[in-house]
Amino acid sequence: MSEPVVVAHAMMTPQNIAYETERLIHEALYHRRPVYMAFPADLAEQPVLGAASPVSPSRSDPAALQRAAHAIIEALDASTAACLLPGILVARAGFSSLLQRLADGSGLPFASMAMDKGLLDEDQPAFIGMYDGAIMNESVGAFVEGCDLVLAVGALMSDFNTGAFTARLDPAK
Amino acid sequence: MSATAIEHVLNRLKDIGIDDVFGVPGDYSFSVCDAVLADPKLRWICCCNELNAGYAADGYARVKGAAALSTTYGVGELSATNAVAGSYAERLPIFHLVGIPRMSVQTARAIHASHPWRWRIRPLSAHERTGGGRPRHDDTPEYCL
Repeated sequence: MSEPVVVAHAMMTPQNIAYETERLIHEALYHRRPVYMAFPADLAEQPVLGAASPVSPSRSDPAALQRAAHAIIEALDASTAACLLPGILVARAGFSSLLQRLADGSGLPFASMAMDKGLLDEDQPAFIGMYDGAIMNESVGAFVEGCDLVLAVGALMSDFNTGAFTARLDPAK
Repeated sequence: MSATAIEHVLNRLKDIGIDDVFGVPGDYSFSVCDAVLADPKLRWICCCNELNAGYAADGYARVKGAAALSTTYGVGELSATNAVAGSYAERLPIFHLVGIPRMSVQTARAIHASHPWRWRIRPLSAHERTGGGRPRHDDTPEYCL
């Protein structure tokens, strides 16, 4: 019943529980989504059989990461007007302070979309206002959409964040 | 002494920073509730209904990084579905612990109510949906639960 709203599920038995627990923890934390663990009433209080190690956390490929970083820096260098959209998924992953370092290091101005409000401290010169598609501050929207490069980091382009999909952000930029 | 199945899961949830379990007790999930209550490092946060418990877990996960939600199956988990779906959409790890009937009952499909508890959603065939050409009067969901 819950399949559409979870990223993984398992029926927990004494035989599989050590393995399934690690698998579901990994899936939940990697995808940042709910998981479903069913406990049959006659098995929940049975002793666990066997053991399992935590699943190794996923890692980026260093070479690919290097190439991606290089491409982003090149694009930034080539742009005349650029801005940052700090997104809520950064907070979900626990990297808000890293994003602040990116803002500080790059000197880019940033706007917050609705869900992202408060992710970076708004009490800093780099903050230019709220961006929510055609809703909210027109000058902020015009600036963001007029940039030739927008660095959206962990941004969720939901209806809430894009002013009911009125945001005009060119994916090529 | 080896941990029980539910104790094992709760121990691992504590490892990842979960100190509280939100939920509503129900038939089939008493072992989960009992294990939480017996654990001195966990708090059982009893809620008025499963949807509330789900929303509470959602909020907890935003702050703590992950959350645990305990309900019974069927009536319990379905009430929580809206909240779990919201957590899914907003990228929040919620561990939904669902107490379900014992294995022998599942195998015999001897469960009351319109829908025997099933593990997988199976789309009804066109024939089943139309009752062999006759209008169905029982339920409208396209998917058999």
